[in-house]
Amino acid sequence: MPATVSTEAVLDLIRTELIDSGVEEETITPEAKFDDLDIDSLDAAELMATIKRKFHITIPRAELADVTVGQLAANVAEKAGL
Amino acid sequence: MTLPVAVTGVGSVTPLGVGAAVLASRLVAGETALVGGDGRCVEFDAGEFLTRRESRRNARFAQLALVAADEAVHQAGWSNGLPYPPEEILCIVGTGLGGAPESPQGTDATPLTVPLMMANSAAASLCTRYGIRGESFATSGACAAGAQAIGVAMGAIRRGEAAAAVVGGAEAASVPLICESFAQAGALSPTGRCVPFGADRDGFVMGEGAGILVLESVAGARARGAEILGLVMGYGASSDAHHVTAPSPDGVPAAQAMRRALADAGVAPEDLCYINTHGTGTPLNDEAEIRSLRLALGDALASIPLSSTKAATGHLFGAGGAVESIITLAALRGGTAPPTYGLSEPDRRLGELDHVLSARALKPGPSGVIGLSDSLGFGGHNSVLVLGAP
Repeated sequence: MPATVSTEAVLDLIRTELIDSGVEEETITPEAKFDDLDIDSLDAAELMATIKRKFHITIPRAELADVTVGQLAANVAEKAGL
Repeated sequence: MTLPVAVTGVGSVTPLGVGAAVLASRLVAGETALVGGDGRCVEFDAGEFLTRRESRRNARFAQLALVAADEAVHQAGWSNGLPYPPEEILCIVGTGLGGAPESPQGTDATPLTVPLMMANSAAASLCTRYGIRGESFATSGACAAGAQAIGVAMGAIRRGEAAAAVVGGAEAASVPLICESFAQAGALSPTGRCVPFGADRDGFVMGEGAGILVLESVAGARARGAEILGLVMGYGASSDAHHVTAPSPDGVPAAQAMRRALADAGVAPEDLCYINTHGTGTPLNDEAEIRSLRLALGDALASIPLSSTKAATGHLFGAGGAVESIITLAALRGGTAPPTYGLSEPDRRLGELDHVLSARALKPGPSGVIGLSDSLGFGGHNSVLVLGAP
């Protein structure tokens, strides 16, 4: 695990995960809210599990509500950088 | 009850290729897909057939099932919608090990681990894709699972409980944990050569694949003008009640399943034109299987052409019974029996048998072109299908 994690690296991971979940690539922008993306609870759980595995950061699933892709990435990068 | 059920679509993915036609043609050409003691579906690319989400949410065995089903459903003419009420269609996909995990470590678990491993996940995915709403589940009688699925569906259609069924088997268990276990159990060929019925046979070779069939009542298929590719005429099953991995040495329980299948089809041993054996190439299986066939078929066995296609496909475990039914149906319909690849010195201790050593034209029997495919699973599950040309 790197000592610090860039927001961009987290964004890349989230983008890849969402594409694998079947989300249209062009809809995945930093401003997009998870609520508006075409994912279900299992996709969300898989995303959180991947983030945990990769960055050792636990994000409660409820925190995805009303959050944008960019905000989640920044949140993970900030926690991972501590 | 001897009412046959119609097969209107078949599909397969095997080490011999993607598609039922290439499976049959390469078998008849005397080819094998086993390389270096392994049989993999190297031509299968999930991304070519499935969305990224389907690929992610289905373990390899279920991915193989989805692609095989797509071929079968298309061939049956179901592509533009189901021809029966969705709740009257069954979906049964057998598997031995389901979504065998690459790693058994708890630390590698993800939320998808369980949905990927579930033995029923292939049936569930097929239902979701095609909107099938009748009963769906997995049969799990190890290497008999695919045959069990066909047998169960045939019975339900005969009894009028279902109008049609999408059935078969799927397996992709070639992960280190499983291969090592089979090797340690002494079932896997240490030389990497699968020679069913050979004097020097020493075990099976791992394969992977899926076979899916669309079954309908003959009346239903005719009413909608569907082409009938073949018939499922009878099914018989039994249990050894003997040992978790070894077959019953006297061969009596498997023979009973064979007799039941023939009786169910209303067919005599002399009516059989071809036998696609379980023929794994382990010393124990081949000996016990031939003993069972001889008990069930008597003197008729010696003159019925028989072969094992596992030397060409590898052992497909839970997919075996379904893929081998597709192979048998192709042989009956095309009039040519595929050979046992690589068999040059048959084991004489097995008695007089008519081994198909190179592709051979089948001679129709007194009741038409009828064949038998038997599947014998770990746990002592014996499942036998009697199949017919249309």
